Amino acid sequence: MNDSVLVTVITLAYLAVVLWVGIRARGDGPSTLENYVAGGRHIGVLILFFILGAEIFSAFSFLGGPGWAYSRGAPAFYIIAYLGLVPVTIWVLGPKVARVGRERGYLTQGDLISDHYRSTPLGLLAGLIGVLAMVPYLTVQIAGAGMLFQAATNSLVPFWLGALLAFIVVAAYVFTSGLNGIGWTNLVQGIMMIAIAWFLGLAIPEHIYGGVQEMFTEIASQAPEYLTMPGAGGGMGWGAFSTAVLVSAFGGAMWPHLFMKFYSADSGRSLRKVSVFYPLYAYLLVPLMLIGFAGILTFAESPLASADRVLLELVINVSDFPPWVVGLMLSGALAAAMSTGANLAHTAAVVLTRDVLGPTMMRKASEQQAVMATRICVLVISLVAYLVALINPSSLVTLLLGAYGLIVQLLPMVIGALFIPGWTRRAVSLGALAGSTVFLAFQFAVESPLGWHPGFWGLLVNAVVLMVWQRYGEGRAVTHSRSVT
Amino acid sequence: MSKTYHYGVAAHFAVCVLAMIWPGALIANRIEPYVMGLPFLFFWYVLWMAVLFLGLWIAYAIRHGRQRDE
Repeated sequence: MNDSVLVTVITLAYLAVVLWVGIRARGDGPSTLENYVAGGRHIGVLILFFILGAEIFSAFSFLGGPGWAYSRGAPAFYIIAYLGLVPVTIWVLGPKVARVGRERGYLTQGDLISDHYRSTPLGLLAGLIGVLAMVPYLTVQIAGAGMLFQAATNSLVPFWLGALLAFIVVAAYVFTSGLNGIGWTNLVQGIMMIAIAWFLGLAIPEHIYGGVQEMFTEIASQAPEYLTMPGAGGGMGWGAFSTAVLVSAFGGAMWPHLFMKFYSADSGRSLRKVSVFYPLYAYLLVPLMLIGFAGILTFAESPLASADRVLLELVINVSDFPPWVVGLMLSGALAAAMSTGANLAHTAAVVLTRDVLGPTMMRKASEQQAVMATRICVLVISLVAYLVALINPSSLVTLLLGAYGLIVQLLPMVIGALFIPGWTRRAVSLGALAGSTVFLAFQFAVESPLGWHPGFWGLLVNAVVLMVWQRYGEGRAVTHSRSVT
Repeated sequence: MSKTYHYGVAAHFAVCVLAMIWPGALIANRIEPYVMGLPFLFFWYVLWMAVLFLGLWIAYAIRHGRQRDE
């Protein structure tokens, strides 16, 4: 059998398994919104761990992680640091969000914000920002799947078909099984990712250098700048590194697809248990980094045009792996793209239906209609993201980075809603507005001062404006009155 | 839960965060010694992941260890 055919057959078999698991996961529960969106708020520790883990590990971390290690070296550790620190946010916010959500029937971030601040427009705005941020994120996953298929099968499966195959599978199980489908498939995909990453991460240095320490000794003698901060190729200063870790670790949980999973936990205790084990998920990045480091000397003579292709190049062209290994690599990387994509499609559909259409076009919809509308939105959003992927996937990464800094600006608003009842609607809105403006200016128009992460400056300004308004502005705003909750 | 418990958890988080960014990570910014085949800075991040995990585990055991439910 031809190599590319074998790779394709193995991968299609994997997709079939995922589809089967996802559709079977539907269960016999009633078709309520709470079931479809939040697994009836009964998701236990094991599945919750894989949902929260696999959705963070996207095509971007699977390809971009090694890419950073290959092109810059040590600054890539920022990815390990921030992923490892995500549980801090889960530990602090998770149980409270889960409890409030259960008591008041929240299913989205917008529910919490609009109810606490007594402002439907604010919830609508949070919903809109969420959807606008998630669609490019989903497109990156779809484009990643297409690119992986094309490279690993030597163009036997072209970009458009690979992207389509992976996302028909995802849309099918999200459509039928909702969060239950995502949970069980993420378990399968998470195990797949971990196994493949460790296998490749140890096999590639072994194959090229004769071992991990041998590889690093070799790099230390020929290109030592890669192994310490600020890294190679201009590098990354400590300021940029540290602020990037802080923004990503603490702002990351503001992404609706993460935040809304807090509602689905069976108890606050489960969320705490998930955070205990969460740092271990960051170890998945260790083998991926090893692969990136392996590329430094291998491609020293003729650098790769795109650093993100380092894993693919090493597996397909340098290491001479048999085709079944290439097939498994493709499946593992697709697992990373699909598990994140499924969460994004599901969450974007829920937010679109509940926060955006709910208070506007669908005010009188019944629960059955809401579930159906959410399902249809899953298909529509996946289709839109697929079409965007066909048109222009490359400029999307920039868009995505932009989306990240915007999402982070919701942090003070959410903290206020959960822990600080005294913060007023006006103060948090002004803060978020100022923070977003500053972030956008530093991200796209002027250079960020000190080279710090633009999102970090945004958050600082956000917090300062909030505090100043709380202290001096509120007394004069006589029209403002917040009803007692 | 007691104040000591909450301060303890907060201190654990603060130490772990600061160890992984400026200024904590400055002391680990070196290649040698190699540990588990990794250059020292790389190992530093692997190490702090383990510290974070152990601290959280202890915090969990104290707070939720004997609970049956919420």
